[in-house]
Amino acid sequence: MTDSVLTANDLGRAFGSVVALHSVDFEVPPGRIGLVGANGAGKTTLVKILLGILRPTTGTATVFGDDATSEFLPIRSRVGYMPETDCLPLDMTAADFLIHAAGLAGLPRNAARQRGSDVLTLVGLHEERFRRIGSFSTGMKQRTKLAQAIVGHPDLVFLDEPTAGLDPEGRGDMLDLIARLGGFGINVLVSSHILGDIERTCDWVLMLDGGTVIRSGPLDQLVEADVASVEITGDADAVAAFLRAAGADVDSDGRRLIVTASGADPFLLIRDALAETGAGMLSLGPRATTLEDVFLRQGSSQ
Amino acid sequence: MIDDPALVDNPTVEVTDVSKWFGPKVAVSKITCSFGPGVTGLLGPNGAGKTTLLRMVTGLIRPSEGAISVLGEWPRSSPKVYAEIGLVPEESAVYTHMTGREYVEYAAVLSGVDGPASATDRAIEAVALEDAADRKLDGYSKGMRQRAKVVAALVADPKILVLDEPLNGTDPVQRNHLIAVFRQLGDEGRTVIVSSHVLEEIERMSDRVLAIVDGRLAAAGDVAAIRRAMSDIPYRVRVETTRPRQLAARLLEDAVVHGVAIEDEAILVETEDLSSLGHQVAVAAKRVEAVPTVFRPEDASLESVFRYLVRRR
Amino acid sequence: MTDSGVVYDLGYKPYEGDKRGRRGAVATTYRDGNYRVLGIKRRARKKILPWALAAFVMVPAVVFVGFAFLLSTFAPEADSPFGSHADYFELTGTIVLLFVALAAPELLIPDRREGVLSIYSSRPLLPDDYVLARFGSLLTVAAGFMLIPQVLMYFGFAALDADGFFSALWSNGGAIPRILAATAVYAIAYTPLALLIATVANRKSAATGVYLGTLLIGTILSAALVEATTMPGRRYTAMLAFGELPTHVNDWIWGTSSSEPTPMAMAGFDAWVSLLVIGAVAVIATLIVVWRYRRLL
Repeated sequence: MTDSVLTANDLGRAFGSVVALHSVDFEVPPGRIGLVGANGAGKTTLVKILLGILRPTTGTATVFGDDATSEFLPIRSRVGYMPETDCLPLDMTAADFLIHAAGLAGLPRNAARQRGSDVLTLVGLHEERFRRIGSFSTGMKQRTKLAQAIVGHPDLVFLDEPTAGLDPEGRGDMLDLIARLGGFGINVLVSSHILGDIERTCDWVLMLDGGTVIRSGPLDQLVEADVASVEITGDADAVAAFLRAAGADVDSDGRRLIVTASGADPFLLIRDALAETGAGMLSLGPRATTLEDVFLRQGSSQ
Repeated sequence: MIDDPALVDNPTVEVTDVSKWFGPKVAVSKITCSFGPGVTGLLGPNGAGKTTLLRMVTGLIRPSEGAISVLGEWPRSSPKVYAEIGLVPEESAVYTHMTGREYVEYAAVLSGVDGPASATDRAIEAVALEDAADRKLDGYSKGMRQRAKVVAALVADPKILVLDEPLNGTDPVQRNHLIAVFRQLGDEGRTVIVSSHVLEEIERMSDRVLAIVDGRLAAAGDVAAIRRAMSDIPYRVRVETTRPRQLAARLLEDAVVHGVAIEDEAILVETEDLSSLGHQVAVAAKRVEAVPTVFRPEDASLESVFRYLVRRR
Repeated sequence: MTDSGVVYDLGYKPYEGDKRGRRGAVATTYRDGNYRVLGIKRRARKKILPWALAAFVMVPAVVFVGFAFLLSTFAPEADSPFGSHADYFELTGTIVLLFVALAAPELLIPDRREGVLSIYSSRPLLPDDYVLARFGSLLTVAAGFMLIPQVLMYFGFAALDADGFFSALWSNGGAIPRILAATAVYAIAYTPLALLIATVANRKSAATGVYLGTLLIGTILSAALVEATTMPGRRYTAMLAFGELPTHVNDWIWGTSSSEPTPMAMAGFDAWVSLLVIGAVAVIATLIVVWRYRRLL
């Protein structure tokens, strides 16, 4: 792909006798990319190689077509990074720190001041920005981390476990912010072990397990359009019977039915079944394999 | 049969009108609830008081007011009672130079278990940690350390198991496995209390949930029932369908919904009664010859329930 | 009068302007370092020590010039009993030493302990760039501590000189290269070692303590050894008194001798030997710091 944002070719990295990555190959298009895998699967190592912080022991990787190891300076001028670990200076205010971060991204002084302020508003830090970061809650720190990652208007931003330590409300807010980044023209790579985070924000998934890529593909390929999944309230058996009588194939798991109808529209049949039998539905949709199903199918890890 | 969803029949852990303050800060405020066999999920924003409550339940701190009883007694009153509580804390408190097996056996000895070696074997088998049991803990990934901590908590065969963010760092396979383990433990009659921020996981694991906001008990019971109890907030449901406008008009006319919004090929409806909406949408769709392909309540999930609870303060 | 209104889009705006890449990152790091050691844009208590030391370093200059002014007003024929540039360097040398001992840990340790290095490693900045920018900040401010009072004195005395301002500037012009040289010697002697210790130690108080302690012990040890031992190379132990080496060179620069003889002078070494030792230590310390940071960033 000529317009791939990220590529890797037989990439590997070992730390002494511990092999963190091996035989990693992928070509990822622009957009919102999810990097999924358990802790220890190699996600952070991969991100560090793409940023030029670590050298691979074998193979190559590119970011926007530039080699990640030999051309990391131009790459770093175009990317932002939100680390998983603590990375904020506790004795500075968020406002001052953002000016510093903008300067590090190459912005001249006045632009740095302006941009730092705009980005802090974008992530939802208002009066708090004039307080020392040492006094911030986890949610505020995560927002500050995100702000410094995007302050240079990067073309791609790496987010490492962005919802770590956040409570459900904070997590929801952070995921909403991340989902909006795409609309700002910023490509996003979210690295997370929480599948729900990826499902909510990404359109392409790169799955790592045991140091290698087990899947790389668009998220919506996971949806099968001709198969319906419905959760029934009321008499599920009657509904199943009606559907089977109409020639559909019904896979039943308690109140959840998976309905396939060759040559007919399963949704139409379901509609009629519900209308006839008096049952209702709690949810209806195309059968979506979740990320989790894919992971589980690909094999287990230790 | 008890009516209050915050309480259970046959409780093993009872929290009665408990408050805890640290100087001017009231961490827990007049909470009354109980826990029994099965899995109870505990949720709440950061700093809401969940951790404080759990620390009181495990006897690490005393309430400022009110009473906590575990199996009828204060948890630290006797080693016997205390041994019945297994705790899996959030911090990574493991001894890295030990192997998994040694760590679990150490926990067994500390808890005064008879026959620590065989208890260790049983516990390891229950959580399927056999393959890694003889490797040193510092070589474990975060997800495996979580499992090792769970095993260590289980080795004394406790009646009550308290877990703080137990699935942190685990991959989907390990997570699935652990969820099955917790459900199993709950089915066996143990009292399992799980605290987590990842609500999708709580939904899958728990029979009931307790929500704590600002130190107070904000909601209790089964998720769907809690949502129904929030009767001042109508349900929003997304319906994707052919002939959306016709279906929308029909639904309004039949007075099935009291609000409709159109968004591209989908309609967003508001209704008070989610349970009968499903059937009524099918009937209305048939009338106007529309075929709905998606019916998705936007806010019946635990996450939405949580958002409402938190915003109402 | 038209009916019109507008709502401005305050959402995200892409940045289309200048981006300075590596140069910008280095300049920003340098600037941040300057602020950090002076406590600017930090809590009030971080300003106390640096500004107190700055005051100590300035006050004598003001006093000297002031006294010279009084003298010139009331006793124009008398020579000023103090106020030579050379003496001043000796005085400020100690203050700058203290300053560097406190500032070097402040420059390097928090970034490591708080994890801020992760952010630096994602910016267009080489590890060497980071180290050199931090060096630059410390050198700049330390040099400033030394230069500013000297310059004040230079112009102050010239203004009070009986022969007139400009002729005094001219006749005393030889002081300028000497001032610069002496500043450089002190700065290069004290800074790299302090940064080295701040690279290895992980607590600020420990780093300051070890640095000052090392220099103190070096001086004491060298005095003891020179006196006590009779082994053949004992004059070389004078080099242990590292803190005194710049003063030895300073004496040579100004052609004076300091209030107390330096160990190196007593051991009979020429100034260029001290210069060599200072240079060697500076190079080695710098290389170690660079090596270490190449592995951290």
